[in-house]
Amino acid sequence: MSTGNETLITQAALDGELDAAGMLDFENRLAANASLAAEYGRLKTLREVMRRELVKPVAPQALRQRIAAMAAPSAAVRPAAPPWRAMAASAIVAAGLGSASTWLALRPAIEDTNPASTLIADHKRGLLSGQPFDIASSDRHTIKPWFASRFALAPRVIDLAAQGFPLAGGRIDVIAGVPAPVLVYRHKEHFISLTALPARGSPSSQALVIDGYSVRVWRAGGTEYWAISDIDPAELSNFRQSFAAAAKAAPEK
Amino acid sequence: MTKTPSDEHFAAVVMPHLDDAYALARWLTGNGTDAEDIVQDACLRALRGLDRYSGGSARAWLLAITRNTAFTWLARNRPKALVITEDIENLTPADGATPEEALIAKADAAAIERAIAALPPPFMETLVLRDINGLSYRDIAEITGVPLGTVMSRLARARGLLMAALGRPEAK
Repeated sequence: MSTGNETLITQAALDGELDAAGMLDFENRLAANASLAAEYGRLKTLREVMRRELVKPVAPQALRQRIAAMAAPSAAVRPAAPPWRAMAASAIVAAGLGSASTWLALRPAIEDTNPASTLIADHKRGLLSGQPFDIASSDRHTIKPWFASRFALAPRVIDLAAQGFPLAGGRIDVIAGVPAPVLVYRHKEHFISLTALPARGSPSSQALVIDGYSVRVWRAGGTEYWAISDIDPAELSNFRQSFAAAAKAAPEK
Repeated sequence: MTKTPSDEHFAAVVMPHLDDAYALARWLTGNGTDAEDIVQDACLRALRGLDRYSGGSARAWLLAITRNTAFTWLARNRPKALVITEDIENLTPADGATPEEALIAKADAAAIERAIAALPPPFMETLVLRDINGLSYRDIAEITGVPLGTVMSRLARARGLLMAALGRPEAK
């Protein structure tokens, strides 16, 4: 049975589904077991080959239009809150964060040019679902390829564990209809969502507080970073400085 | 069709994940025309069931509906594709030489697609959700309605079969 389990653990290691302790244990066994190492090598090769050769099918434009038409918004009718939204809102009220603006922030904001409300809504959704990331890993060597397989330009993945902000994972949010990479950092009991968006408009660096969430925006190169968290604005500024300093210290190749 | 107030919301929940739904349906049926029918049908069901969407991962929710729609469609139109050997979870890969990594590395798109298409549907679905759609084990378990351990063993089997097909020395 242990060989069976080992096969499963090997898959989980490959897919970034092991936690740090599990990964450490796996790496130790990998070093000591040549046939396991060979199997892991084959699995990695298989994955690389699939990434290289397979193109993810894209929904044809005609289908997209048919479905959009099926659900075209009737602008005249402002919706009453559908049950899921009411549920999400009440969960927030229960958490002591509730206000009318919370509900507003949870509204889908697909045409909003300022991404702040969407980003905050996504951050909240992550917290409410108890799973603020699609991939859980504190290892940037796991998160980076995970993003690289999904984006033409993978975001900078910097581990700030030494500065008190360990990586918790990564996820993909949809901002204005376009998928965007989000890094999730942990700070004490709190999460920080860091979204990398293509920079546009004039450079702006700001610190905001929206609906009780600290928001920090800055730009580096062609990327606009949005950090969202419920930690203190001063601590979020610390985070930004740590990130910028680490990015400078280890310039990307 | 009459429009309901939830239509606007539908666009926000469903539209961003259309490519994922299409990719899954495309792999499960093996062709684009059938995949379009399935995705359209799945979106209709999603629209009707929008009030049952509880605010979790919208992508996993839509993929679960797409997956169920696809299997219903397959059962109706291609029942043979769903005929599965007795004890699929304990199916052992055909014995043979250890697959060669160098041969796997040389596989081209056509060979990989053939090998994936030959996988039994539960294996194929798990592999596609993981390696094409990039979902977490948790989401896959939720979508396919099986325990996490089954997701992992199906993935291991699927990859084992692919490596055997692509890395077999006489296979080219």
